[in-house]
Amino acid sequence: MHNEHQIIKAVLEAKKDTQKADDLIRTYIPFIRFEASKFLSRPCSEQDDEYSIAMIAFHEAILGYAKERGAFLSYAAMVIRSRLIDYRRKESRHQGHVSLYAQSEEDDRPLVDTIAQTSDRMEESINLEATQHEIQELSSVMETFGVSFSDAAENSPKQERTLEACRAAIHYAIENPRLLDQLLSSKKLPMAQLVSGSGADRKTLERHRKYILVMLLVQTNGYEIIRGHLRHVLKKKGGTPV
Amino acid sequence: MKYLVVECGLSYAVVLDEEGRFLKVANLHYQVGQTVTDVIEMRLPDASREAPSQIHYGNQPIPLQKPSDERAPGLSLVPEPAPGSSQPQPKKNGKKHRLRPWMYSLTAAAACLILLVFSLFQFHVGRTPYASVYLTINPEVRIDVNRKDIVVELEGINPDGQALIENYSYKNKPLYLTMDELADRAIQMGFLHDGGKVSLLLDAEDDQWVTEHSDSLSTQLNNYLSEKVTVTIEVQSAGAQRHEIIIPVDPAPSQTAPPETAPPETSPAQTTPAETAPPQTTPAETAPPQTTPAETAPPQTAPPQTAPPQTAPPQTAAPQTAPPQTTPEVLNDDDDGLTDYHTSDNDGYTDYYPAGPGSVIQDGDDVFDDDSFDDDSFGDNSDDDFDDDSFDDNGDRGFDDDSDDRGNDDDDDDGGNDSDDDDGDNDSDDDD
Repeated sequence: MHNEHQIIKAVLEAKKDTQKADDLIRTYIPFIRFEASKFLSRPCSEQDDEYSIAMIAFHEAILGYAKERGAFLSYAAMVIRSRLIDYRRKESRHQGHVSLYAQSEEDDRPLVDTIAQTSDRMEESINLEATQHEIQELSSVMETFGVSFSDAAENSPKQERTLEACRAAIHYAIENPRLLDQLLSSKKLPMAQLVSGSGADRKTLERHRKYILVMLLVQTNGYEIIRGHLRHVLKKKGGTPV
Repeated sequence: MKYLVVECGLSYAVVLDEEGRFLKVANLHYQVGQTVTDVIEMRLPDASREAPSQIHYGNQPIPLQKPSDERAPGLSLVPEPAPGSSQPQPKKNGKKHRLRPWMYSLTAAAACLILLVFSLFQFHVGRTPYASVYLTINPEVRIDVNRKDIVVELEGINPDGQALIENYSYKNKPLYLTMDELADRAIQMGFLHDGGKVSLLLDAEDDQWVTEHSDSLSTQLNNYLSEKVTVTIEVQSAGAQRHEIIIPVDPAPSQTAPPETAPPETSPAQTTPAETAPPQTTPAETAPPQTTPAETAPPQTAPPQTAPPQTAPPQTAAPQTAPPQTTPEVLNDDDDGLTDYHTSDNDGYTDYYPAGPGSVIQDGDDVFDDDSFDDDSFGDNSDDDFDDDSFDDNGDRGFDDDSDDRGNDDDDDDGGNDSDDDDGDNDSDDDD
């Protein structure tokens, strides 16, 4: 795709379709790596954090691009550079910290290995596996509802106010588990009841449908680890965690 | 804040924070199920964002938002009411919270205007010469500087001067650096060598500037050159008040150099002492007495020279009496504007004697001799270095110790650039 027009077309399509977005990004990996290398003044490998940042920056550029911004690739280069600068600034505040994964001086093991651990490493890896398992399961259930984690991210309430409203709805569902059953069997979100039961604003809840759906699913059986991670959602106001 | 990684994609990962929010973040080689504490959120470059205070992430930017159609391209100055919503916002909400489209153009135009005015101003101030320094060795060049002592213009006054600055880049160089570099060039090109003389003529509206710089420039140059060659540095100021600050730098005894620099008229005798004299190299005027003995100066110091505006004082007559004493050693005894060593004359110019401290400098006149004004603002009266016809005569004048005539060089008072040798060579008075 060397034609500017073609690029723009691809970008516009990628805005709406994650698969197309991934394809577009894949096509431009060399460009992305080049820009990152330029910034670093050294070749950027896939292992570098900067590489990851450049990738997400490119994706941001796809989503944020509009024709008024000129040529897409210049715009993307600018976004990449901008994010890398931010990252560098952030990192410079952590000067003097050694990465856990750097080599320890005495032997070749990564530093993280030499740190005395209170917990059993075995246990940790078991936990990780279990967590992965849960997440995978959740993901497949979500698929049956036609929702992805990306959707949940896009749909998540950002403001404290709206987050609270959603939480109220979720709390209500926790306290009335039959709603959760209803959800699973009907494959539909019982929005009306949530609204009336929680007293939250309907519009707000409607706006965050997908998010609420996912959060309710988390409250169904089998997701203890994930629930464990969410300390706030589970707490009743001033009360103990469920 | 801890984040649980729930999805890993090509360009980003999705994590769940402890508050229950899902975020798109950079995928720093995460694994699903991993818990991390520092994430780099995805954000849209121009996204309208919620107020950051509402979000408590470990680090920054607001999560990704889908651009909504009605958003004006580029700017959005206030957060949208409900970012992240995938449903179209009611148009009126957008309008309420963000500027009307025409306002952007107006703001842009205003900003441009301000920038333009500002830059013009800067341009003007930055480029306007505030003062000029005429640097003469054999080649003569004029260095124009702005208020900040940055060189804005550099011009060769005589052919040698032009040669000296050829291919020399001076834009935005500080004055002192330029002086040093030009001095180096002069040495390299053979214009300046041991025993040579460097004359500076300062021209500025602001007397203060002249005073300050007379001192600092010669000090600077002295220090810079002291390792390389031994020269005499002379500083003058153009304009009604003339200061002569001659700081002989006394190089090794073997130096006969000074004689040349000694200039003009003074007899060789003077030159000798000069060498021994003082500190020459040191800051101009203040040349210290060291050499006292050598110079016959002392007697000379007696006389007038009181004034001395040279170094510090503003050229006004008043101050004259003040400082001088300590100032420079003998500089201009016979008041021909050329550096005299140890000649005391009552010419009304401040002579600085090599004599030690306490030597009287002023000759009893006002510091500024009314008959020694150089009306044309060149150092004509003393004429040793600056030729008012701006031709090269001065070039050799500096090294010419017979330049005892006050006016132009020996021969060409006719304003033409003829005479002795226009080659700016260091010829010793053989040209008259």
